[in-house]
Amino acid sequence: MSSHVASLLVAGSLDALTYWSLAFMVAAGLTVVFGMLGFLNAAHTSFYMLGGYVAYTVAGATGSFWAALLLAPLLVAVTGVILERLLFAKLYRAGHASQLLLTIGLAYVIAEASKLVWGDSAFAVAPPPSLAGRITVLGATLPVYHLFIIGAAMVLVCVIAALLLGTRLGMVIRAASVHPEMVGALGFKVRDIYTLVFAVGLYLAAFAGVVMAPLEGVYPAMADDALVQAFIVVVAGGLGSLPGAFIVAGLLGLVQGFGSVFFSAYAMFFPFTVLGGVLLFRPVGLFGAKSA
Amino acid sequence: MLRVEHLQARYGRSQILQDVSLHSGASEVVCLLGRNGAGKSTTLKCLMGLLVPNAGAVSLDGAAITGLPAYAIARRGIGYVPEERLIFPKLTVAENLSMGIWHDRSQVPASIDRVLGYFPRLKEKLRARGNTLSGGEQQMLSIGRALMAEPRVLLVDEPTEGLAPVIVQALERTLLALAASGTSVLVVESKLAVASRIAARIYVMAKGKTVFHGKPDDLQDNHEIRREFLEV
Repeated sequence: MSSHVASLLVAGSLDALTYWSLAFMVAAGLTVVFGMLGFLNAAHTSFYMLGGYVAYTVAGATGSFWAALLLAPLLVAVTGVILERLLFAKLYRAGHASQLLLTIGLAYVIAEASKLVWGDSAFAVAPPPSLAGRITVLGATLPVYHLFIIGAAMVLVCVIAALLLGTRLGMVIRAASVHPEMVGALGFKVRDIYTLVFAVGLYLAAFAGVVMAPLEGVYPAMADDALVQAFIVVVAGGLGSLPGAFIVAGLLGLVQGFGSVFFSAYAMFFPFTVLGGVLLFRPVGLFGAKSA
Repeated sequence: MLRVEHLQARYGRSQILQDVSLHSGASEVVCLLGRNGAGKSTTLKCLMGLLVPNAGAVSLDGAAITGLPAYAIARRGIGYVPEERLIFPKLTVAENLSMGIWHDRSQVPASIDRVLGYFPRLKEKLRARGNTLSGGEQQMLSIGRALMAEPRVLLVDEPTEGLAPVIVQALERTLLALAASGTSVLVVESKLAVASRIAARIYVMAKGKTVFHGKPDDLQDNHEIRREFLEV
């Protein structure tokens, strides 16, 4: 009996960590773009979906998941740069309502365009053979790929933190997120900094989409399925706060991971419970600014 | 050095600047004086490229810079100290200063040493965050940050506003020392007393126009201008 509980706990913990990692990866780019640029991108998870679809195509053409993981986020980020220059940049000062209108419309366009290219079907993307197996820990059988997801999220957290807190470029980005006009008046081309941050945000979205593909496949409703969860993480964490998103993704992971093991019938309510619980005590989110 | 001719600018539908002409040469402090709402800060924003003028011309050493974006104007050698100081609150004093160098980070340590020569008080605060500084220290940091790239022209908006007299005196000495070292210093000021102490020449602004130009003594003697455009 006790070994059964132990294996359930191990399985639940791994599920929790996997959900945590996925929820954070999907939300990270959204909150970076909002925190640094003040831009609310409702099409964020459309780029996550695009990452999945492009990965499916690249993996099919090359036979390599790793090639897909390398190329798909880059291709999506380049698309994002073009869209940022043509569309998003015009709305940085236009307020969140205009940004939402534009990006909700864009989400529809991307959804329909994806159907034209890839059709209505769902596709499976195979994980690389080296990550396809399972290992047994304390009686629980665990997919190796889940461990890869957790590792990838940890690497992302470290890379983002190192970039923002440990480099001169990160310092300029943080300065521009507070007083962009002043940063411009000091000789920095803020326009290019914004484009770069947007590209990084969409790279993160697409990266999450590629990582997610072997787990649940790629399918037309992928963007919608992830959007609500991404916004829950970003809003409950405090708009624009990366540490907040990290912690709320962890809370979501815990309730989802253990919830789906012990109370699977109610799993879909858990994210909203976390959102409601956090906002009840801190209406601006965990790390939200008072004025937000 | 910096020449402004018949500058006009608007915010939305309101025409804030009607006709501003001025000149600021090397090695002098020039003050732009006037009541609140006269258009002084808007003039500086136009010169810095933070607001695009709808008519008129701005030139630096004979080259037109009208309507260029702020980063391009900064790169041509104009430094800007905004009225709100706009310190980066979560960056340290040293990081705030290093933001003053956009092109070559290897120059940062030497430039910080040079700037600390003007503001020794910042030396012990180098590791403190911007949002922990007093008002006077923030003003020093804001000016210091603008000096990092050794601008030929320094635009300073109301540097003495809300500061203790001893800090005001120190800032006045710094601005005069900068001018003595060859910099062209254009200061927006609302107090005649401050302007009279530091300026070689004074422009008076009212309702978006430059309405007077002369030496501080000329302005002291001109009761009409003082009564109509400066005294409350």
